[in-house]
Amino acid sequence: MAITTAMCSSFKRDLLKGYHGMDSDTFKMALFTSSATLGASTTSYSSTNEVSGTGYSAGGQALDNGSVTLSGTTAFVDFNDETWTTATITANGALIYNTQTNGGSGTTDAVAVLAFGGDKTSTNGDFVVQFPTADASNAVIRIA
Amino acid sequence: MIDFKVYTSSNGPLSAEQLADMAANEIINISDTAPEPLRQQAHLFRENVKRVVHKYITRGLNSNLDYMVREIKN
Repeated sequence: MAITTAMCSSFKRDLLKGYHGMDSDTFKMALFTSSATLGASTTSYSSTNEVSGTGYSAGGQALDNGSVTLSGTTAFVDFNDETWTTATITANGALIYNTQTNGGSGTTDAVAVLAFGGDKTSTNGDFVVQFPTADASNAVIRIA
Repeated sequence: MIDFKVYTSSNGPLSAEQLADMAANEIINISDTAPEPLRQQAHLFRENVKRVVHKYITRGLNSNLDYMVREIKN
């Protein structure tokens, strides 16, 4: 059981097929326990080994303000930082997935996996995932 | 490589120091592949940025508290 940071392989394929509207579809971030196995081979969201606790709902939260920018020869995607407030949860990693793939809705196609490098716990407090700086060298999703 | 950060808190929101750290992350990025002297200077600069941001976040919080106390008294 392990969570490994990766851009999901199926996402790369689906991106080239034009299935993902990075600045128009609704993307979500779901949190997972250390019992989960997530990585480049993850193809979709599943509630198995998802975090549960006060302040957290199954399926995670929608990511706000998805934007696509071209800087020089690199295109990149950014989202607002994600915050669970007044939450009592422990998470070991996260999955970003698209709920509207290919113009549909209610889908669960995986985008990227974030490994926290250990358990992170909030107790009646904030649980915040800060995305990297939105530029051509650091943004969460980049095509150079 | 996705260079994200996770911040958590207990019995309340993130602290001023955590918020200052988040701000510093957005202001300066330090490449793992940069030459060591540059990395050291960049880390020092980052700590200075964090210190200044923390100072003014704290000042802002205190100012807000002061404002609320005055409003309650009035």
